[in-house]
Parts: sequence; C-alpha cells; structure tokens
Amino acid sequence: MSRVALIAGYNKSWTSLYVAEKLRLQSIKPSLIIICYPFTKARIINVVRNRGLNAIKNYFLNKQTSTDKNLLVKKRLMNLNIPSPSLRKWAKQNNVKVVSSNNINSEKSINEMRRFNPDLTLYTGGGIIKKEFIHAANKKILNAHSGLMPHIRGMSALEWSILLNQKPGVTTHYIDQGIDTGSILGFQEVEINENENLDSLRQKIVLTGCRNLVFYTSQLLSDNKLDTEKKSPIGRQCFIISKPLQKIAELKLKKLKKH
Amino acid sequence: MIDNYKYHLKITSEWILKSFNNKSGGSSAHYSDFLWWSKSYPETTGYIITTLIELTKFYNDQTYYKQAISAGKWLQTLQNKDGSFPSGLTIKNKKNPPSVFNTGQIIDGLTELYLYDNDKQWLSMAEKGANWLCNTLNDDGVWDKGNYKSKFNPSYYTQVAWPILKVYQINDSDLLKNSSKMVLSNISRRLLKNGVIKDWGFEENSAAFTHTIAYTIRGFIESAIILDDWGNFGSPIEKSINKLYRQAEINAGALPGMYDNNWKPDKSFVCLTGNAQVAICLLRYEQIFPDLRLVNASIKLVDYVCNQQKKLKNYKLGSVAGSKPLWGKYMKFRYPNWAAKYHADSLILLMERLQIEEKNV
Repeated sequence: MSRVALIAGYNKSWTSLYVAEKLRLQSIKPSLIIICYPFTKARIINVVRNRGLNAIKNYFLNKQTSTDKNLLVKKRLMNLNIPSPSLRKWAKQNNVKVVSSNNINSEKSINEMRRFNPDLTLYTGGGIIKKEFIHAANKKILNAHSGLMPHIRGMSALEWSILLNQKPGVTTHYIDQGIDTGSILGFQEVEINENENLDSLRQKIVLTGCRNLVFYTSQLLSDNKLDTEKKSPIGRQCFIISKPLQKIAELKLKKLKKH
Repeated sequence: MIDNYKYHLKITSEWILKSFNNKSGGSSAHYSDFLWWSKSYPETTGYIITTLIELTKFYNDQTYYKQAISAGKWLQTLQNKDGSFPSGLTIKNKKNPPSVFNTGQIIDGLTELYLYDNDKQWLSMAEKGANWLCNTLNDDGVWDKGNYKSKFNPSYYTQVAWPILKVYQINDSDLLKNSSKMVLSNISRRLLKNGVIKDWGFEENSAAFTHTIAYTIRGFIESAIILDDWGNFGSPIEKSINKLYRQAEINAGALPGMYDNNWKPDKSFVCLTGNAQVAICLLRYEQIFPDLRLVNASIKLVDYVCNQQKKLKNYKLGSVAGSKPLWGKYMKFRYPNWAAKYHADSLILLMERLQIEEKNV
C-alpha cells in the first residue's frame, strides 16, 4: 500500500480537506498529515503587513465571503457531507495520524517525514519548504501552482498571469529548493467565461489545483510513467499584488472576456 | 489608489514650499520637534528646484516655478567665482569650503530651471559649476579636494557625473562628457560579484544607507541614458536593482535602512528617503526594461512612506522623517527636505506609470 503524506497550512484548511477526502474516495488516503500552525510571530507579521488585520480576524471568524477563493471547494465538500473543515476531525474519523508543527522545516517535521518515508507527499499549504524536508520526503512533494511555470512563479499568480499576458491555469509540479521551479508534470489552462471576475477565476483555479493533485497522485501511484520537465525560470519571481495593479488586472480581465 | 497618491503629493509639495519660509531664500535642511526649522541647505535646495519644476508641470501651477526662481537666485549669491558651490548649511558670516557633491546637485536644479524657462543665467551658472567640477578632477579622474571625507570619492559620485552630463546634453562639451565618463568608469570598477558597488556609503569600505545606494544606482541609470551606453554605465547596477526589488517585496516595502558589502541588512530602521529613492530607481529602470513586477515593488516602497506620513500633523504634515523609527540611524529625529523631495518625485513617477498602464488596458 502506498504511503502518502499531506502537508497543510492549518487545521481548518478546506483545500487540504478536499484533497484528503477525494484521495480517500479513491482508496489512496494519506496516512500522515502534518499541520503547520500559522501562529508564528513572523508569519502573523507577514500576513498583517501584506493583507491587513482583517485577514487574521476572518480566519478566527471562519468568515465566508463571496471573494473566498475556496468557495467552490467548500461547495464540493458540502456535497460530500463535510459541512465544516477540520483536518483533525477527518483524520480521527479515518484513522490517519496527524502531527502539528509550528514550522514545516523544524526537526520535528523532518524526523516525522523520515520515519514515515513517503512514496508521495502532497503540499496544500504550510510555508516554504527547505532542502532537508524535501530530502526527508524523498524529493517527491507535489504542488499545484496557480500559474503557468516557468513564467509565473511566486504569489498572486492569477493576477500576474493576466498582467503579464500568460494563460491562467494550474501547473502541477514537484517542489524543489527554488520557488516554483521544480519539475513540471503538467499545466491545465482554466477558461475565462463571460461573467468571470478575478474572484470567480481564482475559485476555479483553486478547485482545479485540488483536482489535479488528486489526479496526478493516482496516476503516479498506479505506476503510470509520467514525464516531467525541468524548465529554467523565466523572468522575476512574483510577489503579492498591490492594490493599484490588482485593479489594472481586473480591467484587463474584463477586456479579455470581451475577446 | 491614485487619489491617495495625489493627496500625499499635495501635502508633500506644500511642505516643501513651507521649507522655504525662512529669511534666507533657500530651503531649510530639515525640521525637528526640538529645533524647528534649520538653516538653509544649498545642496538640497539645488535639486529641490528640479522637483519644483516637476510640480509646476504636474499642477500647472506657477507657484512652484516662482519658488524655483527664488531658489535659483539665492544659489546665485552663493556660487563662488570659480563656479563651485559651498558645502554644508548656510551660516551667516561663515564661508564654507567648496563641495564636489553639493555643486553637482545644485547643477541638477539649475539645468532643469534653464530647460523650463530658457533663461541663460541658469545655464551659465550650471556651466560654471560643471566646468569647475571637470577642471578639478585629477588625471586619474578623482577629486582630491571638495570631498565630504578627505580624498575619499564615494561611489555615489555617479550622482555628480549625471548632472555634469545634463549640462553636456545642452552644450555638447567634450570636456564634460569625457570627465563624466572617467568618473563613471572608475566607479564601475568597484562593482563586486554580488552587485554591491563598493564604497557607495558615506565612509570607505563601510555599510551604506539605502539613500546613498540609490544615489549610486540612479547616477548610473541616468548617465547611461544620456550617454546611450547601457553596456558600460547601466549594466553595473543590474544586480543591485534585482536585489533591491526582492528586498522591497520580501520586506513588504519596509526596506532595511542599511546594507553592508555582503548585502547583510540592518533592519533596525527604514531610511525613508532611501525607500523613495529606490522606488525611483526601480521605476526609471522599468521605463527602459518594462516589468510590472518592478512597479509592484515601487508601489510598496512608496506606500510605506505614505503610511508614515499619515501619522504626522501640524508643522510636520507633508514631511517625511529621516528614519522609521524616528530615532533610526539616518537623520535621527529630523524631517529632511530631501526626504520630502524624493517622496514627491517618486509619487509623480509612480502616478504617471500607473496612468500609462491603465490607458494601455
């Protein structure tokens, strides 16, 4: 039986839960979940600096809004009779080991991975992974990145895809030491529909990412040979989009829809 | 968002005008809560003229131009017969020795004044200053006198080469062109593998404020454009531009105030002037090599300075502190006129860039 690990950014992660549940339904459920708690001082400062205090408030209130990027994932989970997120609860119900860590690259996390010796690890959040953890995971950590690699690397990938004239979509790849530079399994474009805005497009991308993680996991564990391609980075790494440029991305998206 | 930038430009430009409200005719070097307005500072008055001209065009308001003329006339009273301008602040009955760097900055403003109104008196002053600079260079392309520290020619003297080239652009003098190129070539040889340009701080072989790092970079960028020679005079700053881009983003606009020669940051403070100047460097570079990611970083740098401005009231409304926190290493407890100048420059440049991008959609 394949040994699959899942890394999550927090216990209430809808996307992590979706991936775990979909894998379970395909009889390849993860046997280990590592939850990296977001409440380190550095991480909180970073979130507040980039997204404001409301981001922290909304997390605690579990606030759902129409701009919630996980909306489509949540709907799918509700259809699977999972109305509220709790990885711990899901893990308990499915007899899966859960380990908490305040840092994915801590000795605790690394030792846990070494002991577990996974065939495959799925990344659904938890911070930037460094060399030692990658090695402990046998260099097989899958990620679904919300942009076309190697052109769009880093954060706010959807906005940068639009601003830099790249197709919006999801690249599934192995994580290496760089930021979105690992070997690529595939890219799936996400179509822009008539009434699309950035939020709705982001929701589709998140869902596509989750589905692709599940798809590639089942393919890889079925001994299907999948080609990977390592491409050199093109252009600068992208960072969190500023408000003025986000507005420009919105304007550009409106124009793209008309064509 | 642009409305927010317009507001900040308005209060900053009004503060700049306030800085001239002293009896001398120049702009006060800084304001502080303890000592109020300082004496006038010829160097920064000089390049604030450039900003006043930009504000004249931006607002279509002659108030700024009139202030620029007044500043120009005041500087005229200070220019030495040999064309040089004095160092330091203006103190009654005290004659300060001539300064290479200060002369360069004043030439910057004088050329802009001339380009705006075609009054030859400004060009004549600028030419005299530029000729003095070129004629006092030794055979190795180094200034032996008129330096801040003995014979030390810091790398931010690219910001002296640049104004000399601005005069060259007008009068086509080979002396000016060749002298500038010599200065720039000397400095470009200090480029380290990691992109640091050695001695770009106030002291030899020391850590540098982002203020002087940005001076160095900007001097290269502008000189490369004038000389149409990016290979020799623009490429030395490529690595540092990329480094500062990443640093601006990673620190969410709160660029560490100082870096050593290994790019080790001093995060105990932010040099707010440096923030604005680095934003300008990124935007100017981006005008040559378009990449909205650089604009994104500039926005964060500018927004950071705007956010510090928001907290100030009364006499300080529109000013920009030397550092955040106020007791940080650069210009402790003071609000320098050049911090406001660079903030205004960065706001104008940023708004223009964003407006271009909106039109292109």
